[in-house]
Amino acid sequence: MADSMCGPSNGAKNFLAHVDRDRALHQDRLVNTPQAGAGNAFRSQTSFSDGAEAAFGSFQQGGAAIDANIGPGLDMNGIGPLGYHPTGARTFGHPVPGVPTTMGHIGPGAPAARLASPATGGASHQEWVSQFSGMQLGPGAAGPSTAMSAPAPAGTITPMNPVLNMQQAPFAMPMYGGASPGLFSFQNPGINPVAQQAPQTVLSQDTAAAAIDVEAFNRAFGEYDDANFESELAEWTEKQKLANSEFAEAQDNWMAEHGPRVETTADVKPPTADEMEVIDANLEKMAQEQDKRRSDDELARAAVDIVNAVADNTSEKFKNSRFFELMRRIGNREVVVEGDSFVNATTGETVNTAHDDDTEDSGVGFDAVTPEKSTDSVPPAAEGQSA
Amino acid sequence: MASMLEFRTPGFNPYAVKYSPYYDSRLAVAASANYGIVGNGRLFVLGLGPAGIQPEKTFDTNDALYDLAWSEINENQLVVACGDGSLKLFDLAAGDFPVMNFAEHKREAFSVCWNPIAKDSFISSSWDGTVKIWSPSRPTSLKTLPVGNCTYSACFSPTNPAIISCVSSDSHIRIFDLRTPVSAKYHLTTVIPAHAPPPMQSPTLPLLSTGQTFAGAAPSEILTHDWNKYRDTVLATGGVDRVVRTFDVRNPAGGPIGVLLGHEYAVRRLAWSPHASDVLASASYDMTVRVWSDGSAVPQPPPPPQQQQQQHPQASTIIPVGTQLGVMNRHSEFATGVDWCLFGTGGWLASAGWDQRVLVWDAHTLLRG
Repeated sequence: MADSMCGPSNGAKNFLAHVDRDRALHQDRLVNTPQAGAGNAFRSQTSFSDGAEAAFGSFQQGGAAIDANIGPGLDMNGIGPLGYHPTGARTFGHPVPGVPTTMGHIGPGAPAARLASPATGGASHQEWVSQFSGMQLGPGAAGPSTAMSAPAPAGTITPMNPVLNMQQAPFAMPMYGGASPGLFSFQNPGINPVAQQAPQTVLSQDTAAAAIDVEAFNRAFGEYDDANFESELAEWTEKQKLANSEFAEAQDNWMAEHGPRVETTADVKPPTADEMEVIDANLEKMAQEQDKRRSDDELARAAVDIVNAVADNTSEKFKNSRFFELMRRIGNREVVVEGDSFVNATTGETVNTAHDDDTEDSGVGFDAVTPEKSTDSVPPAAEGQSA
Repeated sequence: MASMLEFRTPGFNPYAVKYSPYYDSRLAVAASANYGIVGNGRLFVLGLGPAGIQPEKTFDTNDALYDLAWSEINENQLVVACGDGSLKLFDLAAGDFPVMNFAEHKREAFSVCWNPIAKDSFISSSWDGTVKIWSPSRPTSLKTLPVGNCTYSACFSPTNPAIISCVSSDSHIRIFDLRTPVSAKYHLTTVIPAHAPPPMQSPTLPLLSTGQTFAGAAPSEILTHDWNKYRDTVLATGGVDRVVRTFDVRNPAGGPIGVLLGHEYAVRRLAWSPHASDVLASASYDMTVRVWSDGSAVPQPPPPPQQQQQQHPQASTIIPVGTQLGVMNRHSEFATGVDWCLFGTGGWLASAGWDQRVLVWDAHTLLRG
C-alpha cells in the first residue's frame, strides 16, 4: 500500500488503490470463488456463476454429508411413532445462526462423539449437545410430571403425548407465544431436577478428564518451569541490583565532580573583563578564519566552474583573457583572497588585475562588419563642441 | 574603427555604463575592483570632448558597484547599486561622498532604474529577491515588491510611471502596476514565463521564421531586460540561454514575439535604441556587443518556403527572428554594459567591459561595408 501513497499520482495507481480498498460484495465473491483467480476474466458471466454455483453446491454437499454420516438421523426416524417427522429433522440439519447445528442430530442413543461434526466442533457445543441429549433421555425415564407445567399455557401442545413434549419444545419453538420462557423451562434445574442430573454427570466426567490432562501437564512441565523461573528471577534481580548500584555509584561520582553542589575551584571563576576581551577576540578570529576558508573554497569552486564552462572555447580572446587566467589560478589555489585583493598564495604579493599593460592591439578582435574610416562619424559631444 | 573613443578604468572592471539624460557629453561608469569579487568600487563620471574621453569626477565606495542610474530630476546626481546591498546617491557638486545612502537590501543590489516619467522615484533590485521603490529624499524605501528569487534587473516602463518590470533567476518576467490595490498580489499584474514557447496547436516545436525549429524552452536565469522606447508594451530580455527575446506584455502566455540568435554566451545587458523602434544593442559574456533589428520595422518576411509548409503542415506557430546588424568585437573581456546616447544623429553607443575599457562608438560603422 505504501507505494501507492508515495510518488506522483496516476490513473493506474488510483485504480490499484481502488481495487485494494474496495470491500464491496462483488469483491468478496470474487475472492472467495475458487475459480476466479487473479486476472481470470472476472467479467465473464459463466465462470463467475459457475464458481458461485459450485461454491453453493459444495456448501450443500457439505451439509448433506454431515447429515449422511450421522447415525442419529436414522435414530430420529425411529422416533417416528412419537410423531416426529423426518422433514423436521431435515429442517434442523441446516445450520441456523445462533442455534447449534447439532440440534438436528440428536438421538436418544447417540454418543456425544458422533454428534461432534467438524462443522460445529468445539467442546462447548459438545457439552451442550450431550447435556441436551441427557435432558432428552430424562423425560423418558422420569415422566413428564413437572416439565409440562411451563409449556402448558401455550395451549397447542397440551393435547400431545407427554413424552413428545420434551422433543417438541425445542423443535417447534416458534409455536410457542413466548419462546424463551419455554426454552428456559427445560434448562432450569429447578423445574426438572431429574432431567438435570444426567447432563451434570456427563459434564463432570468431561471436566474430570480435562483436569487429569492439566494435572499431567503440570506434572511434566509445571514443576520444572516453576523451579527454573524462581532461580532465574533471583539471578536477574541480582544482576539488576548490581547494575543499578554501579550506575548509581557512577552518577554520584559525576555529580560530586560536576553537580550543582560541587564547590567551585579557584581556576573556574568567570573570566574577567580583560580575559573576556581576549576570549572574544580569539573566537572572532576563529570565526573569521573559518569564514575565510569557506569563502575561499567557494570561490575556488566557482572559479573552476567558470573555467570549465568555457573550456571548449578556442578563440584567442578567451585564451588570452586575463579574467580566465585569474580564475584558473584561483581554481588551482595559486591565488587567494587576502583582505580586499587577490594575492599570490606562495609569495603573498598582490596580484595585479589591472589591464594597464595591455598593448594597444592586444585582445582586440575584429568587428563582424569592418567599417571604413568615416569622416562624419564623430561622437555627438565632440561634434557639438567642435561645431 | 577610427572613430571609436576609449577610456580606461585601471584596476576597476566596469559593470555598467550610462549616458546622462541631460548632457550629450557626459556618461558614467560603475566599476568594481577585482571583477567585483572582492574589493572596492569606483564610480567614474566621464566627459566627452575633442580630446577624447576625460574623467570629470570619481567616487570611491567600500564595496563593488554593479549598476548605476542617472537622476532624471537633477542633472548632477546619480545613484549606484552596491555589493553590500546599499544604494548610494552621489552629487557631482557635493564632494566625494554620497549625499544619501539607502541601506535596506539584505544582499547585493544588482540594478537601479530612475523613473523616467514621474522622475521623483527610483527602483532597485537585489539578490535578496525584492524590488524596492525609493524617493531620493527619503532614507527608507517607499515600497517593497516581493519577487522571491535573485532579481537581476528592474525597470520602469518608459511610458507609464506606475508600471515596473523585473526579471529574475526563475526565468520569469514580472510586471507590477502600482495603480492596482496592494492587497491582492503586491501590485503584481502579469507574470511572463520567458522560456515558454508560444501556445502550440501541434506537438512539434515552434518554428522560427528562418525555418529552424526553436528549442529554447528550458528555464534559465534572465540577467537583463529593457522596454522598447516606442512600442509601449514591448520589452526584450536576455540571459543565460544566450537568446534575446522580445515580448508583448499584453499577451503573457503568447510566448516571444521575436527572438535574436547569435550570442555565444549569456547576455548581460540590453538597451533598446532611443531613436529607432526596432533596434537594440546587447552586451554579452562572449565579449561582444551586438546591434540587432527585431524585424518589426519592416513588413514581416514572406511565409516560410512551401517546402517548410509541407514538412510541418500543422506548425502554425512561427516566431519571427530578428537580424543582427553588426558585431562590435573590440572588448577583450566580458562585455557588461552598453547604452545608447540620447542625443545627436542617433546610433552612438557606449560599451564597457571587464577589460577595463569604456568604448564610445557609432553603430552605423557596423552597418557599412
